[in-house]
Amino acid sequence: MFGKNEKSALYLLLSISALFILYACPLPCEPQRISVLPIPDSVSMLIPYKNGDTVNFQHSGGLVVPFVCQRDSSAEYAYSDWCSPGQEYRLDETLLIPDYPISSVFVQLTKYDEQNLLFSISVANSSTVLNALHELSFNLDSLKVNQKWFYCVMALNLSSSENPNYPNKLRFDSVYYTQQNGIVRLTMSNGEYYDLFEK
Amino acid sequence: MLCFISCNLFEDGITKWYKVSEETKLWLADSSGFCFRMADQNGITREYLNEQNTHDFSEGESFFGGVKYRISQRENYYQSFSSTFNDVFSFSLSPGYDDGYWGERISLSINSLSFTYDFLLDRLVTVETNFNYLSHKITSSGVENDSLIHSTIDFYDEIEFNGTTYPHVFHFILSDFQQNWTEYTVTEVYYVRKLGLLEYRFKNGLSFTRQ
Repeated sequence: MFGKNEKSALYLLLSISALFILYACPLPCEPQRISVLPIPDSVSMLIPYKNGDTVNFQHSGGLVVPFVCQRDSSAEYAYSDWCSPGQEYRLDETLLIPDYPISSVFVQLTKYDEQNLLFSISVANSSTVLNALHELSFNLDSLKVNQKWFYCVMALNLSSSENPNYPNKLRFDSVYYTQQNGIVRLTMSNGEYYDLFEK
Repeated sequence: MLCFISCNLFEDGITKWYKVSEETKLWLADSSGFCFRMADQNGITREYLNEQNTHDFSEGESFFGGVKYRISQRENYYQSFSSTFNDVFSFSLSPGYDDGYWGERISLSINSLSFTYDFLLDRLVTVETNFNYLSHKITSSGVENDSLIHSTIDFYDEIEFNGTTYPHVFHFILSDFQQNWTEYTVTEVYYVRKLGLLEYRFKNGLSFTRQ
């Protein structure tokens, strides 16, 4: 009924169709997960805040704003593709919620694997991300805040998404942080700042 | 081709354009007001940046017996802003109808407060705050339930703020839904023609004034 050439063309067509069907409707598979060990306590201690704590910050204009701490740790999974193994990552999240209409402050540890453990601080439209294993150094300098000296203070620049229409937009530009006290100062691009206020 | 041309000519013939008047357009913030700062009584500054500044037409179609007999094109202006601390503020204009039931409208929204004022009816026609909503029902005989909205809006030829005189200002005061107010419910707004937001106040007395 079919000649040799027609048969070859038919087989080719059937093969392409089968590939298309397999690609469009893949067989069900059991999702796999790649686990990662929890964030070690020695790294979690980089964030001194405890769930339910209240920390106070004093604005450069004098107002003292209490922030309530919410801290939680969890394990999440990221799936890049259907049937590809899910990559577990560990989170240690702290949210400082102000009792005033300004932004919350977000301090987070994210562990993707034994080499990638990120420490990040976000406030309003600004943030910084560092590798907690290689880039954190608390030996930089001392800083006097509200008549009290803090030692081993890490100074971090906060970056913000660029907007060519507003190159000088108001933003948080730096954070001063210690392992013992957490954030001791936040500064803004217009000179306003928030200092840790200890009663 | 003939059908295409005739259809377009037909649609042009039944299209009614509703546009915002030049006078009302003056209430939009001009580009000098697309980046502005406000400070509260404690000296805490927030900056508002323009996110959207759009001008378009929304189309409406009327049918009778399956035949389109009228197309309306209503002009819209919309400006939105967000602040350093994630406050959201928007302002919009819409045209009136030629039936005389209602007129040109301005709508303002800041955080959880929104309201709409109708120039022809000379009244607030909607007020919304903290998920509570009031809207006047308007029929050919006028506004039903005249006492539905207790919030007020007043227009001033000029007003003085911190030693500066601002021309053409409206002042909104929220009076509805008092049982649902929180400490940070916006209860008052001052808005200046061409300039934009001048001041807003929370229920707890905290106010934010243009710098």
